[in-house]
Amino acid sequence: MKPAGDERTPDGGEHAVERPAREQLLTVRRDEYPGALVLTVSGEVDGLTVTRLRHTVAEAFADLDGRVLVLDLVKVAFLGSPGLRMLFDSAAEAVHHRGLESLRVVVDNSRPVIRPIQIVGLDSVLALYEDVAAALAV
Amino acid sequence: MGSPVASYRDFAHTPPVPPPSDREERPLRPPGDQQRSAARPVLHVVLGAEWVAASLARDRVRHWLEGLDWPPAQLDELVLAVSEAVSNSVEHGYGMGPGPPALEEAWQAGTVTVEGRTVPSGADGFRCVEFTVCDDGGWREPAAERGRGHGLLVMRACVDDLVVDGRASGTTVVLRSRPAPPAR
Repeated sequence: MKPAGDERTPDGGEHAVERPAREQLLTVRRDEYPGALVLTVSGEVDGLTVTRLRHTVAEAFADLDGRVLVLDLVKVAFLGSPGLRMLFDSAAEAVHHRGLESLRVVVDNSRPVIRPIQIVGLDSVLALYEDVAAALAV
Repeated sequence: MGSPVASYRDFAHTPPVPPPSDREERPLRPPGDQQRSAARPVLHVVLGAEWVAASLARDRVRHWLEGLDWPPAQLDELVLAVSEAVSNSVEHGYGMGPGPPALEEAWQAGTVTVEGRTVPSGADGFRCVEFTVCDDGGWREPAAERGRGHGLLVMRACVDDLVVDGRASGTTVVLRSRPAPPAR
């Protein structure tokens, strides 16, 4: 049996889709501020990449030291249900275990991110902001 | 083939958020744009059942729908819906948890097939797309754990019609889109 992950395209005639390297699908940048820790997420959040994002968020919670945590999802091109589960879990962690009011998430009404968040009702669980400045100003 | 273990039909209910309007959001194409590849009437992709399959499926579905001049708002929702169906196949069909597969899991993985076709819908040349996502792994109902139902909820909100046919031999999901205007 061929190794899993190879794409076979019986329709033919199209160039082979390069399998994206896992590292390219998601990147997370961490910025420290006196009163806040901001994680800027870029790329796609699905079953393949969510584990790494969970680890990064867990590390951020551990290093918060009384500061506010902000997840910036403006550059996220895709947010699937594994990412939605992660956001629910992170919000619960923030409120129930870290004494935070809520999990602050930045989404600029970008449809690929806002739509799934609204579908599952995450918009009433998260504190949503249109940009990082607004999230930090509170 | 055995009788289905679980099979249900879901018609769209009013979503909590109004579906995006398509008419204001058509991209402008320069006249005589012949660069994009000829729209294929049918999509057919066979993928190894591992976590990267959803990402590959998204790319192929997006490319195919763009070739059909599908409205951008609906296109994003269909990419999301198909991605969820593929992820479900990988996770539930083959029992793979999230994250990179162990070597042993990769060797045992099966395949997930994504097919797409256009279907006429009513008058004025409106059309739907219908996606079929199937795997050959066993289906088990997602456990009633916290957050488990999100994939199905998301799929239901993104399409007009959803059929999930789960059998011991594998699962088939059929998604039919909302109607879209004819290609220009």
